[in-house]
Amino acid sequence: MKKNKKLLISYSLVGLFIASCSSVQVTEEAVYEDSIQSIEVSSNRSSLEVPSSSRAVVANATVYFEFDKYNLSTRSIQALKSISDLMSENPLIEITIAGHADERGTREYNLALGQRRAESVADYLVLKGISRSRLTIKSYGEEMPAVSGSNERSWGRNRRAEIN
Amino acid sequence: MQTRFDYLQASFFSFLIHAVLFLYLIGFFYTEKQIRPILSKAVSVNIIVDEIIPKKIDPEVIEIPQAKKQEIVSLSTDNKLDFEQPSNQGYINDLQSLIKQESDISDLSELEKNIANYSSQMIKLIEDAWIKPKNIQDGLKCDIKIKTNVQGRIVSINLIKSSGNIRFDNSALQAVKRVETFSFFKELNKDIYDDIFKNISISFNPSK
Amino acid sequence: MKKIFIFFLLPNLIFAELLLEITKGSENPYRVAIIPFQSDVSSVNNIVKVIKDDLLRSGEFYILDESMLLSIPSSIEEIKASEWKLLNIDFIVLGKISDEDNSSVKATYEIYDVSRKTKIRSSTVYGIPGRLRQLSHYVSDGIYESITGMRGVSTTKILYVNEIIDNDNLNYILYVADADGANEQELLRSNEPIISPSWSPDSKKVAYVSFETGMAKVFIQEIASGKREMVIENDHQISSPAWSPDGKFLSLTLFQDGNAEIYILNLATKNLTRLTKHYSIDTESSWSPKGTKILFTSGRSGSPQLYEIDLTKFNTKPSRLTFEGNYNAKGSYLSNNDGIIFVHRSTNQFQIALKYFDENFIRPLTESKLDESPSVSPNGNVIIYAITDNKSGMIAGVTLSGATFVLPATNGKVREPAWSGFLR
Repeated sequence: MKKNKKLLISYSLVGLFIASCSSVQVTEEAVYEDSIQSIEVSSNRSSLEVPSSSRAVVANATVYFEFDKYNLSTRSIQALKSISDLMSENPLIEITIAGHADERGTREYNLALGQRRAESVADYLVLKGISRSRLTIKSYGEEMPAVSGSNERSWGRNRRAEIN
Repeated sequence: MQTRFDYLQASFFSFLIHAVLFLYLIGFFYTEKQIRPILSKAVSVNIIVDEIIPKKIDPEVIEIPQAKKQEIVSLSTDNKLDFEQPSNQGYINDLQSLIKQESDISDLSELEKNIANYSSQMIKLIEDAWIKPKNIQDGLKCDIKIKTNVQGRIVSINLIKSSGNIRFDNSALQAVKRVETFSFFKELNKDIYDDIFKNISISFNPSK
Repeated sequence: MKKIFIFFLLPNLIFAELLLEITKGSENPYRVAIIPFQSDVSSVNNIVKVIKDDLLRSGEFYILDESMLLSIPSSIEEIKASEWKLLNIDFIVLGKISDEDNSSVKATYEIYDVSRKTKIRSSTVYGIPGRLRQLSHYVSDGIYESITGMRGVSTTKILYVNEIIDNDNLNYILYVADADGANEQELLRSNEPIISPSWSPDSKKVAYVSFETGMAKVFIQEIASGKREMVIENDHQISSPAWSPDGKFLSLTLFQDGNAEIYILNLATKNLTRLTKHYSIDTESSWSPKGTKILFTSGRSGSPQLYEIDLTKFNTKPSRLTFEGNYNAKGSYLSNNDGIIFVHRSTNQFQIALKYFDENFIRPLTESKLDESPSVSPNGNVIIYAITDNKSGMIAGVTLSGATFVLPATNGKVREPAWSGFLR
């Protein structure tokens, strides 16, 4: 009992003290900001392509794919057969296979999808006896559409692998 | 002759003492004393049980008096017959002390009514200050413990059990912080503050 | 006897601590009145407008229109609480802006709680002349924090990429801007695509994918100095960079194995650790708030779905998190680790969706057809994402409290927003 009384007294004293202090939040700060530096880069697009003078014959083709798929259709295989024949006959020819995707879905997943599509083409050519070292494989994802348009037709034309 | 009379006196007193002891042991006086407490307990429990209906007070409070009530029921059935034994005079004395205790009890039930009333006030203040977040899961619940000072100011707030969703927890803490002070504390006496209102648990359970 | 009896009963009550149960609250936003700031600075009205817009965009406030103000108190003492109660106002903000000898601008503001009839905050912010928007954002965050108890994000920044045709040339520009889309500044300008910008945890560096070398490569650029470095210089494509919360690691998607796989790069030692080993696509890695788990998109079940891998356990398999719909990608954790935000495809629409870990269903948050690249604010309450349609792209936002907004449109196609950490 006595202990409780003592506690009560001290509590009420503390309580009075707290009650007399204001409960307002007081702050003071200064605005801070970092500087920002801007950079410009440019690539000469034509220099990225294989100069045509090193090729005796030009090998160009485009194969198309279903949404979210990277397997080759029979039509694609027929198109690729002529490429593989051409490359077998001309061992100096080197090609670049670039995979693409339509705009739907996320950019990174589309980049990976484009890569898979290019790999599918490469796998076929390797199967046909073409050395892998003659192939450059890359993906542009949805970044370089062949046609613009948000409809099935445009999308269909963007889901492709280009051979140059 | 004198010694015989002394002997008679001695044996008479001895007999009286033994008789009283004997009667005491067989419960002659004992039952009389038993009845008064039984009566008063039974009556007081009835009144308390009626008053502790408000949901806001922890259910534990109700259980203890009820347990006592059952005890009393069994006791009174055992001593049914003995109840009629005490003299009228003893009965009137019991009644008077009963009435006195009844008035003490009604003071107490006043207190419980007030506690229920204060609890509803506190709940309303917190509910008015609580902005519930949207797009949260169903069934979220969090528990907060607060300590108050004698003026009713909340001096410590602690999240005891999180709901698992930080926006929900935060909104509950913010509601309590916003209330800040319960002004009715100035009507409370020290004991009531100490026993009931110093430490309070608050449970946020909107799915109820 | 009497006294003992009374206290006999009280102990019954002492055993049980008083328990209050709160079962309802308000689902309405806080109602705030901002009294026009007093000032000798000319653009004071702009300051109040920025504050008002910041608070509105958070979705947690209703700001009383200036025309509905019943009175214009010039100090806390002049406030008549009963008058504001009529308008159902919860808080009143009073402020003053003053020019401090040409080298700084000072904003002072006070917040008054109408129901409690008391002042709850008194603050001062020193700003830079000519940078009044920044000053306003500091005030907005102070008001937000005082009233909601959570940290505000008006003073944070966002990154995004803009694709724009400039004099017949196609330009890709990586921008950094204020959280409200204002004050945009170029970080990188290129004629080849830039994708996947990502903030370092201290918000001083950005990582992004650039096609400037002819294929996808990851670069880290320091914002203040412009210093750049290529991450892993070789002939293979790398993309999808994400920083660990402690800034020591970068998770990446590498294409050298014949398909997309996730690796973790130790930025100090340059050690690469492989995380996924599956013939399907594994990409779009993102770290949990404590850095113990990685969320990523995988095609291993036949369609893109979200998986999680625990970094603290040795040799564990990724566990699948999404089961609804045939496309769930670009996931990121809510800052409080109670769920994830991601792109979800249902029927023919791509939407931004939320899934709490303790629920087994998805909550769609947006409604347009081609929503992508969501990014969560550091306080976990707001999500910005890109709305794309063929002609333009814009950045939109949705708050967990249900409000939506769109950032002012600029020319070109804006996309891939990324939200910085707390900067204040």
